[in-house]
Amino acid sequence: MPSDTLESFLEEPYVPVAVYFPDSDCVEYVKEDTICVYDRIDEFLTLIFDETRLNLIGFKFKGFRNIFETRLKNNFQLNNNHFVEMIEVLTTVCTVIGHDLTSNHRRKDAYRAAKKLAAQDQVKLYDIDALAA
Amino acid sequence: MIGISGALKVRIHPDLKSRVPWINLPVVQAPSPFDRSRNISLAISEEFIIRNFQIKRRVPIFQAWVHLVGYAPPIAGVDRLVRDQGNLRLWTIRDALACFRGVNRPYGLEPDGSSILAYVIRAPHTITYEPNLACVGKWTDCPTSTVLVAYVAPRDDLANLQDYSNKIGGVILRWEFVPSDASASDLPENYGKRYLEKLW
Repeated sequence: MPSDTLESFLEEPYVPVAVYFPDSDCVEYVKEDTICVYDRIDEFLTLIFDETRLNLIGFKFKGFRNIFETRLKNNFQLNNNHFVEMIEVLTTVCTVIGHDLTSNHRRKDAYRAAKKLAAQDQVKLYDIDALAA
Repeated sequence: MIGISGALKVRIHPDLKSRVPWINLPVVQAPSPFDRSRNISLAISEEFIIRNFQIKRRVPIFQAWVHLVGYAPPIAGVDRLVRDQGNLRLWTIRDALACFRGVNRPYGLEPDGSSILAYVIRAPHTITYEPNLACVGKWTDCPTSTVLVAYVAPRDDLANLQDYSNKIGGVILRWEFVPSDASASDLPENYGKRYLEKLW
């Protein structure tokens, strides 16, 4: 459990994990604590680049509550209410989007890149007790 | 009118001596979405701050201090940071260039996030986390061809943002650098499709 003192905040290394922000109903994963540029792909996905805008360092998934409630909650319960795999979230959304994804190359490439990052970094989302209740 | 000529000269927050609580950032003044010449009061999402605090993600919190609150973040060596500002131009939400309504994505019970506001802030310079012996914060150029956007959710109803008393009318949910539009470099990319309406 990370400590929450000001000293630890300023001195300890950044912990790259997926975080759910209930206020804005989105999940964000960023692998570096740096200046980020958010490139909106569609109503679900935003890719996050570093300040050069060349290197993909994360993604933001928007409207998470609805997808979780309708499509992911059962699997979450199978994981003992412990975590959600972000690759599963992205794959599920690709299914929801369906044909639109094959006809829009930018969108298709963006989802592919986000899924690759989620798989490489084994991005999991913990700490969503409020959603799971 | 709210001018865009008064770039922020960053200062040290007056409460610094009593150790400003990082999690409770001060209430912010911003131009009203309905009348740009009048200010409204906005809170900064405590959740966003706390969650970033817990994973030691410093950059967004530093940016909130500078571009939303309008003060240097309360960190050791902040005097150095203030001195180093020199002629760098830093802008806050009070100097927002534009305000849009509706984010064209589901938000709460709204299918199109029609009550969410997007304040666009010009951003030639910003702050980042870069530890050295003197200070953990450092001024830097903003990413090329980007603007800073702060997203605001009204408390209960958009109409509450016409209350010009000091009552908090909404919450700043998050703030992000986004690519700027090819034909209007002070506005976000595809702003015509990205948002429902330009308020000013």
